[in-house]
Amino acid sequence: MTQTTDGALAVNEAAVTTRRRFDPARLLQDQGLIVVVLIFGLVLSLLSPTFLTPTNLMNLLLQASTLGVMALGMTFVIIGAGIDLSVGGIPAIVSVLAVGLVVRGELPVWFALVVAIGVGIVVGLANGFAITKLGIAPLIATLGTLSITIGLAFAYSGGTSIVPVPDFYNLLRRANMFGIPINIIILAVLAVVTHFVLTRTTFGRSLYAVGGNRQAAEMAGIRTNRVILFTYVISAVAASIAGILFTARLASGSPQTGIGIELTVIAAVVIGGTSLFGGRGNVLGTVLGAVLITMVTNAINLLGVPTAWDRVLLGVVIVIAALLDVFRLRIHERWMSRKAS
Amino acid sequence: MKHTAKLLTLGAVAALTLAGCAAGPADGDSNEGSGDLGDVAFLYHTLEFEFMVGIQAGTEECSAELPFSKTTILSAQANSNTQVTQFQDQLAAGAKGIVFSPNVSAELVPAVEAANDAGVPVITVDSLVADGELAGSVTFDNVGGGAVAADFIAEALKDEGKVLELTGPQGAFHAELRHQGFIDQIGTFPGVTVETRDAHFSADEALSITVDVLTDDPDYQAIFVHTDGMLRGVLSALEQLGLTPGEDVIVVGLDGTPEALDLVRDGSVAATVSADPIAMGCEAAQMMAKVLEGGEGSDVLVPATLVTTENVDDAELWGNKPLG
Repeated sequence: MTQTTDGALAVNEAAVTTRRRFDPARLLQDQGLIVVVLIFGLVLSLLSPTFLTPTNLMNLLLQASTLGVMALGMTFVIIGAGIDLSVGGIPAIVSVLAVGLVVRGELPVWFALVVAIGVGIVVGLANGFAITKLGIAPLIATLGTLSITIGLAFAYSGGTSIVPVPDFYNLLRRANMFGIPINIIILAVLAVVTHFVLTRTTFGRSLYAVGGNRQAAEMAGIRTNRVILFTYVISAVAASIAGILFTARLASGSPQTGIGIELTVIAAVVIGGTSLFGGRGNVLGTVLGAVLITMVTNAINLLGVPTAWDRVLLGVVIVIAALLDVFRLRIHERWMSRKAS
Repeated sequence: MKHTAKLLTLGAVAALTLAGCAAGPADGDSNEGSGDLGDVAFLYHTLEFEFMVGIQAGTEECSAELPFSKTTILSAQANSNTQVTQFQDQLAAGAKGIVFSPNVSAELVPAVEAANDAGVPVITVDSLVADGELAGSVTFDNVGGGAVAADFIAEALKDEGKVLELTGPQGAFHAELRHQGFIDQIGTFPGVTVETRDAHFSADEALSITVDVLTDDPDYQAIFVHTDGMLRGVLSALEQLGLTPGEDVIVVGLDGTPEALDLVRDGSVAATVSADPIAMGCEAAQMMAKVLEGGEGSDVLVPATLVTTENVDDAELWGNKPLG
């Protein structure tokens, strides 16, 4: 069962199709990205003997997991026709607080975690408030909080990374279930939860409506401001979780944590087929988007491509993935109109 | 439409099958050439300024003559997270040894430990790590570099005068050691006093600090900067203040970049201290080969060389060699 909620499309489809059964061909048609990922994987496996080894594939998923968690949060925001740049700053403030409060403030780890994630949520609320109540454009509002959070992280830490981290982070870094690193499990669980929230709850359905056509949603009685505000809080929570995972990864509370990742997160979501105009998007696409982006850096590292080219290669992959999505939509529309006639 | 779906399915199946085949024989390749030393990765925190390009050049030059099966050189683009990813990728790819320059010492400890767990020897270049086991290290003699600069300045000032020291960020590995070497040595000349300011290795900050400090007190006769990249800022500041470098104030740098050597040639910079990165990159590659052959690594300090108008054209200076 793939997603059925395609915003504007869903309205047409509802008339044509009843509830779909699992259908691999249909899945492929909905997720052209799977094909891109497979083809790219094929090319990589031919170029590098290491690529398909279980160690590397596990490593790849591990690296994709933090990006994936952030991208899941961002999916909500973008479906709601918003954008959240502050995810590039939230991990930094979360990281320095989560370690600093313990190392410098001598507070218990759990308390530092609660405060750090709480601060992340406050940033999300501030974004949502600025956008819905003050009417500031999402790009500008979150650009502001991006700068503020990074600035505060540097001010609090004094610009250096805070060490040594409490044992909790070393345990988190090494934690696994049946040999699967905990980060991958966290991503999997959050992906399932996100899918459920988007497709099976009133909030999820309202979100697609708000993102697809805000005025219509308003007239239908949806409290659009509340829905939008909530998407920024979700994105902030996801970025906060990522901040904790980054902290474990680098074993330091660093003000540089996650700096510059915001555009990569947005790229993962958009590659995954979520429309920047809102109203369309799904979880599987987002996770595949994160995996594809990670595959590019993995490829570069395995093949020893001169590093200056990695941005070029990533850009090319983004454009190809987006192009494929355009084709997919076109085919989809043609198919819809044929059925209708 | 059905055709498209079928085609896509077929394509995917074909891709998976082919991928499966490719993995089979290729897996065995990791053992090829059992006599050699295996793959070695050189993970540098950045390759975006000349000093690091010099390390890369030295690495490439010497690796070519060593029995590694493959050498990979990557830049982390000054991002610790990227560098950890590169460690993980190289370990997954079965690298037998890793040489690296840490982006931030503390943040790379988990990466070094991961290599330790995998039994892969790690050697650092240019800097050290806070924790984890190293098979060896190759660093510039930063303390010696600071001391050489101090001796030159004290002699030029005839043991009397005021010096402005513009440092790298407080707590940064290179900045701390250069400062320590400089201050300790200058302390042996009681007539020379030093004012130290943190310019974060930035030319821009060096400019504004120099203007501010010398406007407040024009009595400074020498300026020492922790890295040659800051020289441009100091020279612009002196120009702004209407002071002539070399006459009113002597300027001394550290690194020995090609640009700094040109500035020494035209007389605007009195001296720089050369820290041979080409030798560092080479030394690290050779040490890794030795470790992989079963030998012991060590902690090597690459010595500092004073560069003045007298020896600025010496072909042995790294700043006079073509890079890459």
